[in-house]
Amino acid sequence: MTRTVPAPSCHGDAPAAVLGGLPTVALVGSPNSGKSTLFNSLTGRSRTVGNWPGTTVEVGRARWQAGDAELELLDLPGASSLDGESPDEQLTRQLLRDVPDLQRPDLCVVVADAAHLARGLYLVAELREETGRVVVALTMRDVAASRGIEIDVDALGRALGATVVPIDPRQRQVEGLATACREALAAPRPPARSVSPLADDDEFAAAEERLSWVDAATGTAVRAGDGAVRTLSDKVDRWATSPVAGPLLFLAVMWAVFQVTTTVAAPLQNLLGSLFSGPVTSLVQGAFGLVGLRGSALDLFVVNGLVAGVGMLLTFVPLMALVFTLLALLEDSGYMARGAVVTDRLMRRIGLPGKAFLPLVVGFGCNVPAISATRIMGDARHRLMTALLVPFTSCSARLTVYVLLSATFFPDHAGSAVFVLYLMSILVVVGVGLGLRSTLWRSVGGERLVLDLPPYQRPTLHVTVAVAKMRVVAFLREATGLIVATVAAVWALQAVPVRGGASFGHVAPADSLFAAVCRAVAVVFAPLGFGDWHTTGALLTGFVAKEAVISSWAQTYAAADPTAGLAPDQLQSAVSGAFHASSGGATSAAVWAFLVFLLAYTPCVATLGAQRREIGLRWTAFSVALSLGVAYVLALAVFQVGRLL
Amino acid sequence: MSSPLRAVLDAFAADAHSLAEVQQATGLRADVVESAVEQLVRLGRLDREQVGAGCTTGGCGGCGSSPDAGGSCGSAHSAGSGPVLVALSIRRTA
Repeated sequence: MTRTVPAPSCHGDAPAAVLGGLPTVALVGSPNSGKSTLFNSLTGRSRTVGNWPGTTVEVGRARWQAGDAELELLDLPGASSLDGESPDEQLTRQLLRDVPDLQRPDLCVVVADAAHLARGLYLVAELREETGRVVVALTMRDVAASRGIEIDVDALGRALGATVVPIDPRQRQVEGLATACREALAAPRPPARSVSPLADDDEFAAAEERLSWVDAATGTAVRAGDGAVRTLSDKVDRWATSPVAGPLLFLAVMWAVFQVTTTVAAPLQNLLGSLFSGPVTSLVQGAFGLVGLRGSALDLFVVNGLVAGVGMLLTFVPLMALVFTLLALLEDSGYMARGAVVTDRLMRRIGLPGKAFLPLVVGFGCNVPAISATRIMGDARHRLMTALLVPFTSCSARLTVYVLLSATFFPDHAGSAVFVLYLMSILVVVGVGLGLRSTLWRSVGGERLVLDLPPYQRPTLHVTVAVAKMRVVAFLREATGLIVATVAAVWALQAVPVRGGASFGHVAPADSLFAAVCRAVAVVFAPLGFGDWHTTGALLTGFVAKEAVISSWAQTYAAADPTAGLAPDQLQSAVSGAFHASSGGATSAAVWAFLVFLLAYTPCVATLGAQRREIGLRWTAFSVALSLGVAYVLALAVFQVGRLL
Repeated sequence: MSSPLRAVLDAFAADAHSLAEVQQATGLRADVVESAVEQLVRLGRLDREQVGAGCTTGGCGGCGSSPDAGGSCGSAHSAGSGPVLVALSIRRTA
């Protein structure tokens, strides 16, 4: 048997020189089909690896002593089709189909994973369209058997018109392959399978024909266990993704996350709060006393600004770490993917484009990447509509405020209160989405989405820790960057007096420029039950970032008593008093109204920046107006109805 | 009776939410559905997106986790080897 191979490269990176005109056997198969494991098993790892001449694609090559025959074995790049466009697939196509017949390998061994049989056999369908010799090496039969898949190897071989050899290269059980290859090489080339003529450029029809051929060929030879053997993932998914039990289970899981978070983290949060309001404050004040700056503007900025504001925010680190860890556990176990099915079902039911749920899910972590993620949507109107909806998804920054107020006003049900806020966030997204659909986007169709769910797995410590750590670090970076800048700005505004008799840095907070501005704006919030200047100040700084709501509160209340730091319970007491006074006694209604406003209004400047990048300045302005309008109307309704109850 | 490729495409256009539901709707074996999806993606009939639920991967702009902001998001260390959700949708022609 003679053959010609493409001219070997004169460069060192060629896949070795021609091996003396030996019959050539090419191993082909989908990526990860076990091809390279088989190659190593057959050749004892004596492979030469190099780029194929003229390409950057690696090809393995070695001698294979197949019984009494010496063969040249090529490990071609993984390809799921000869029509693929990746460099790997192009080279495989070139060597198996595009070169003249005499330059092709004498035999193709298609490595097919028995647990994913049709994938491997698609290549067989393509190869059998011509007269080349084909042997099928069937791997992973044990995995297929564990899934209830039984394969009649002889029947499959007859249907394919090629010898099928079960092997297990992982256990070096490859004996039958050498015999099958020798016999195939000794036999005349088999006739090509009959294919109805198709238009040359009709790739869909060609793929349709090939897959139909594979389905028919495997139909009699493969028994898939009529569903009797189900994996654990299948069993759990019957409940986790069902239309009724799925959403209930998802809600129960999320409720448990918030319940555990608020209960477990509370003592740690109090401990950190005491640390900042006690020893840290005393230490800083002592240090300023030592250098003779006690009571100076710098002292007040550091103690009442940085230590009180940023310190208060840092007390949330244990809580954020816990919630991030629990969510990472759910993600790593594969459960969050089931949550995506539940969300997608909801989106589809209300007629919103299915792809919109992808950025919206990301939005519950952080709105900024969620806005960027709208790029995956091909339709510009879908992209715009989703970018307008993302700010209504409750990002993790808002969680800190939810927890502070829930722990203050509903101490026995803080977890449930936070859970209700997340539910409300979903309802607001749905409501605004439906509103936009019925007004501005009437012609937007519901784009269908099908999810390929990963199997469940035992969460791994290193992945969970790495993901949680990454998010905690991001939270800390925000607290020590943007929030410090905001604290400085608020401090500067609080240091400017608007009445006579005071100087810069030595003014009562209520007489400062900050308070004057906030008091002017607070009138707008009076009908909502929170027309207090401290509360308004927190909302105004919340435009920068939602974490700034906490720091702003801590800062303005701490400045009122410059002689001491502010412990968490003192802050809670001060905030509670403000809500009570501004609501005329309907405190709970005002708190819920505030929380709803916080949930719905503009998330942060970074989100606005992302929106400007993605949808332009005009639509960003519309988004701000939309979120403020929705937040105001909802909060008004909550307070006015709530105070009557 | 329609071909496996056509049947899978029709199931995508109908009410299937997951590949398991596509399998139920078409009566095809899981591996045939899987192969059909692979070919439909290759042919440009389906779009395939990797979903990071709650994660801040992808075009992160001002996000504190992004590498631009000094974070480790997207690195091999941060990504770990968790399960990956893949969303498939029918590609709309312009």
